Amino acid sequence: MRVSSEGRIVSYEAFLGWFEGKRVFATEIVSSRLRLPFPVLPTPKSLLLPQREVLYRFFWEKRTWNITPAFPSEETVFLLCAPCEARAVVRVLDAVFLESAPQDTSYARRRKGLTLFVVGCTFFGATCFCTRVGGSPLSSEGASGFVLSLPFGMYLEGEGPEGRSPGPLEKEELERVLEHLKQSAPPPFPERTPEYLFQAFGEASWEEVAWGCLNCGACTFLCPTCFCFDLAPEGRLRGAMIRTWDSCQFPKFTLHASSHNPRPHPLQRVRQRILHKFSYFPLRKGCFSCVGCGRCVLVCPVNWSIQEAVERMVSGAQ
Amino acid sequence: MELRDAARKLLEEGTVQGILGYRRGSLPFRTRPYLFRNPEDIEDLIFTPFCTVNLARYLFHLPRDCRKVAVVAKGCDGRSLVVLMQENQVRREDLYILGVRCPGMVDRRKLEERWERLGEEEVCVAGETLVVRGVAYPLSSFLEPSCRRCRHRSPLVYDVLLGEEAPLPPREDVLSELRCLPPGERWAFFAREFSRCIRCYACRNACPMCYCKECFAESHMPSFLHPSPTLRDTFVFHLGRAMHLAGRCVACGACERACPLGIPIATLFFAVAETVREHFAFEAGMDVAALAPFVTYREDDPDACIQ
Amino acid sequence: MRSEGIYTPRLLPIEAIIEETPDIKTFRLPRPEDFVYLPGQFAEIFVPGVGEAPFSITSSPTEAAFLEFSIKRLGSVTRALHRLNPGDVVGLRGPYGNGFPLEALLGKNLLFVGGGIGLAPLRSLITYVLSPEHRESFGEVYILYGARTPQDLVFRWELSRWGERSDLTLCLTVDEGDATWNGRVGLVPNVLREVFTFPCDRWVGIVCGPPIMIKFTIKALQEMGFVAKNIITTLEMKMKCGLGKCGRCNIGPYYVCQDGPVFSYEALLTMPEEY
Repeated sequence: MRVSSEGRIVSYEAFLGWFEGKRVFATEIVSSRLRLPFPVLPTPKSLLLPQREVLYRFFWEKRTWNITPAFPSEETVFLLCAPCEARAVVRVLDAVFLESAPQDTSYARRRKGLTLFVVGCTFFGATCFCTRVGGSPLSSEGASGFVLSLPFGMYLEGEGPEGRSPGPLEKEELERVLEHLKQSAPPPFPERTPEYLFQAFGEASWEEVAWGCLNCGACTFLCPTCFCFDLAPEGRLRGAMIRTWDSCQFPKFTLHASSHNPRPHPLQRVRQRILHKFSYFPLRKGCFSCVGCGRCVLVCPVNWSIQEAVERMVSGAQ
Repeated sequence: MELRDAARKLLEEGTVQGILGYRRGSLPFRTRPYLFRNPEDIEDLIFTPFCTVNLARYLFHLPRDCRKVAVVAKGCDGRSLVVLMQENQVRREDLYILGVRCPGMVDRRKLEERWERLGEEEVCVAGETLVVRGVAYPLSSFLEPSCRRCRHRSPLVYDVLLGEEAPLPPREDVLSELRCLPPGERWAFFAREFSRCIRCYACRNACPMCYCKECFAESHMPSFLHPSPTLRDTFVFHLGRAMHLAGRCVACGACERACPLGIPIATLFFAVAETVREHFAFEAGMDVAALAPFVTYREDDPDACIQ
Repeated sequence: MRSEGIYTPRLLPIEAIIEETPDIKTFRLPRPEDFVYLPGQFAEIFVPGVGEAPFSITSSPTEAAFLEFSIKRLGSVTRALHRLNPGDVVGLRGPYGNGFPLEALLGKNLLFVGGGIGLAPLRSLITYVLSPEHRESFGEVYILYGARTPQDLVFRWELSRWGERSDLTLCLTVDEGDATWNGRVGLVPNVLREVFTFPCDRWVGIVCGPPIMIKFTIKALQEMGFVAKNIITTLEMKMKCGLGKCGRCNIGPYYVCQDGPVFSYEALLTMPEEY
């Protein structure tokens, strides 16, 4: 955690003024902490991988089928998001849809038009655990601008309105915030977590860990990194192929047409969610596909916690 | 605590192999359903005005070796158990109903909205008042809608009923406001609320009556709705569920409390429950022997509800 | 059409439909010039207005003019496909997946073990191996194929052609015979133990069929002395995108649509048993 020497102080009004005339959204995390006049989105995923998206249209005309692909516009959009959410875009969504061949055409167009503006965190929320998975409340990774809301004004780095250099008192205050964050940061998961969890696949303790989960899709749908989707056409003679969010918690997620299902049991689906984020994805791409925002715990109808589950399985495997 | 003693005894004596109850959650005002299997764990068993999950749902999540289970049951959980017994999903002899007198469940979202960073220790319920940071408020204005209209806060069928008997506060008609609206505005209300639905199916999965092996919402052959949440398909889902639950729904409100977006889903189910009550003089979950209205046929049925 | 989005299929007319069994049909499509594939790869077929599903390519890359898919009537897409006629148009995108490890198979004796519709992906490799330009690159060929009843055997005309060849051994078996059947009766893994009596060190076993048959056949092969790396299977998994993006076809860290569908048993042993 650091504060750059180029940082500057701007007023809340100047900060908002800079966004005037631009198309701006804020995520729920940000708007719950900062009073902002922008429309609210659950996570950046809602912009980049909307829950309902037309990939191509098909229609019966002149006695045959026709197909025309549909593309989103490359419209310029600003998104004010938390550091963890920016990491979800850069480390996970981009890795899957941009950096792995073939590039996803719709995602690439939306991503091209998207500028992330990170609103740093001055405290750890009740469900926050970004520092456990390699993140930081002050990370500006993937962002064009970074802002921290402090009692004396907005501390700004990167793109944004002009401001003045912080004075000695302000620097002191800033240091205090940094120190406090450092003190209260949850410690990272062990480096070999992906391997530990992979080895723990057959453990009996999964049953107890998974118990309680209702297998609904609230956590996966409102997760900033969960990217699994379904392709389902709509319409008969005139319609479209729709891409929509899907969840590994749903029993039909892996059901074959032959009625064979590799993951018929709820326990297996809970384990899949944990292992995908903390073992399979990191083994493939080198980083967790969980950014520690803790929203899944917040929205869970039964307060089931992925953080506790990982902790428990890792400590058992170590 | 009376509840813990009773639960511990049941486990120690081997009357049951497990106890479905609540534990503290990781956040204030959150509780977690838990299957207590060891008497030592019983210390964690709690019953607070925040035990909002309907435990009857968890009868479908029991391990095989748990043949007889005790369920910590509020009035609505108890009525759900009755419906499940009626529908042959569970046998009375496999259940031990640990009835608890319910004070009504407090809507944590209302607390979080009104007070910032409120701790659980700063809130307590005393009779019909809610004390927050030393100030008393009428409990009813912080109760879940399902609890404001509740007629039976304690289970009607039980093995033991714990807690002190308290007079039932007046029942509120939570639908009155909506009922006064002209149909167009009522439609607009539901359209506005359901347009936020992401179809995560938390409502369905939290419902003890939604135990279908294959839900119509996810059926492929035939396919009734598209997996993406258009308002039209979302309506089909919620209305379809409401129809399927007519005469079976005990109006516990677990669906609404499970919704991650806070959509007032239960409003629909209160309306259905009231329609069933009005036209069939039937209330779900009152009597194991009663026949549900939608599985009985009478020649002289006035059919008023579909006219 | 390729540059127009990675999920957009190209439309192709069905050239011919062959009825293999009461519930399996083979669909022949013209092969677009840029559709370059390996035996063992698969493609997504889209029926407009109904849906899209992955199917292994039954034809061999050595057959330049057409693509073939043998499809069993099971779900909504396959039902719709079975109602189509020659001349009807379907969408196609692919090829996807890794295909059989041809280089590793060069010079080896090949034992093909197929069950039911599981012969479809094997047939692509068999045709490839038996084609005049490749036959000499491979050793002996042994094909064991089983189906539930004689009526469920697919590729009958191909089976009789294979049966006439002197450079391969063909063994057919059914779980349940009838009056017309004078061949073997018995489950594939059991018949395999009976008929395959060669020293197995120069052989590679290539298995495909229903999950339960694959499991027992692999067990039989191991008991017969096949080492894990000489057992190859091609797996079925629910796949939507075929491109490693939609996230549903994983077995542990591997995506069946990209790292598979062909896996050696050696590789399968390192994966969680969730297939």
